Amino acid sequence: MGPVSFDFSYTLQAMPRLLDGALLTLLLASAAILLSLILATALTILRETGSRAARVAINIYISYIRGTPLLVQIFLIFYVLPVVGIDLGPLAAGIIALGMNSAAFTTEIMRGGLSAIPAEQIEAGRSLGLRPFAIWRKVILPQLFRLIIPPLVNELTGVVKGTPLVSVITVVELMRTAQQIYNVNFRPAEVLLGAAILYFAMNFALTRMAAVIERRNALMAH
Amino acid sequence: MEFDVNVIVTYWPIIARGLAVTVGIFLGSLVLSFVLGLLIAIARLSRLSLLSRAAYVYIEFVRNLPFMILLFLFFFGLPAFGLHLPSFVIGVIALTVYGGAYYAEIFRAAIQSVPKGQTDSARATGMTHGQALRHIILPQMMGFFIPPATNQAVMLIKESAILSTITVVDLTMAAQIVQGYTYSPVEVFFMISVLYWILIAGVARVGLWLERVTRPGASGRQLKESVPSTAARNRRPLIGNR
Repeated sequence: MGPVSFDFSYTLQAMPRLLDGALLTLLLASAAILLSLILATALTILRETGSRAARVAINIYISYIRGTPLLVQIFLIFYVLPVVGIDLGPLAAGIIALGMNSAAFTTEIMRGGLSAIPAEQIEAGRSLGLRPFAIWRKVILPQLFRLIIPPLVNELTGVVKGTPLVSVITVVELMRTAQQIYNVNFRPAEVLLGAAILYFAMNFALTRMAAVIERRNALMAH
Repeated sequence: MEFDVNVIVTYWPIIARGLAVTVGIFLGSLVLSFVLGLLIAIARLSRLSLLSRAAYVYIEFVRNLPFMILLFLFFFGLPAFGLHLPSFVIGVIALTVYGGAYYAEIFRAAIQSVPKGQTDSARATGMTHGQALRHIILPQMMGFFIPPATNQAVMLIKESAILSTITVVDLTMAAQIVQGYTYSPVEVFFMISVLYWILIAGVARVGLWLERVTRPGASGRQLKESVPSTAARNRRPLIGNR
């Protein structure tokens, strides 16, 4: 082998399998963002209406998630789950880890969205005799979900960028697919370039989408 | 489930060495990505469209990639081009390239945040160019720069954990080594996550302190009712990024 040995044809050769891996990455990220949204909604309602202790606990959770590496969180979830009697395998552990991580960020996004909903609406709901639960379900949440779509799409790119880390607990997504290919053909640089192109394409498309939605929302507000 | 603290005490030397490596990698890549980020921001704002375009492509490419894939590209790509370096060095290079793209955007936003009229006004009052920069421009820029820059520093620490996947013996790798001896991964990983947490809280604290001391009027010579600083107006939560 000479000093420079980069052969792009290996990149092209790997593409079909890498595309399958990318599809799994998208599914993984979608499952994680869905879990994140459910968790974050629960945390948001609890933080706004729950006791002081609940608020403190939620704030500690958010601080811990944002103050520690995702990789370490993935290892922790992966090893903790069986200890507490939940044995779901690496794929579920990966989704749970990514979802629990993202939930901290989504909860903060929701806090920002809440501040855009006028307090008068909640007062109006109350004076109409709606119960607190009904106010959340019929007044706050439908607007909140619409408001947070653009930052949530951005958050989804964050989740996509986190997915290669679950390859360390043997989930065969795009990153691990690439590793499997170059472990056989010994062309890591070429194969990884192919994976990088696919990651870039996914994230670039998502950030553009978020920008378009944001612009359309801004237009509708006028 | 039993939580055995002895594991942590017994293997503390390994953990401590890992922590030192993580801090070293963080400081090195922070300084380097600062410098790289500033250079790329200058290129991005340059009037030469080729230079500006190249900087744009670099920023967009890196910011849309997961750090892990960038790291692996360097780890396997550099040898393919005949460059053999220790994994520790490759890790710092990858973190620098990664952080540089984000810092470039932070620098650009900070530079563009101060209207050009500010320089003109300062010069019109008889200040030299240096005085205008020192007393008028930089203090206003700082409010836009320090909060996101702190965020980014936190992100560098968190991403540095991924260096363990290319065999760098940082804090995360130290945890893996210790759990290989003890088979108690939960204690070990929880323990190091708390160490990361403390380290990151410390960096966030330094960021808040820098924000306070660089705020216009921090020396106390300004009128009380002066306009709130840009930092106060644009306050964002610390530790924002993943």
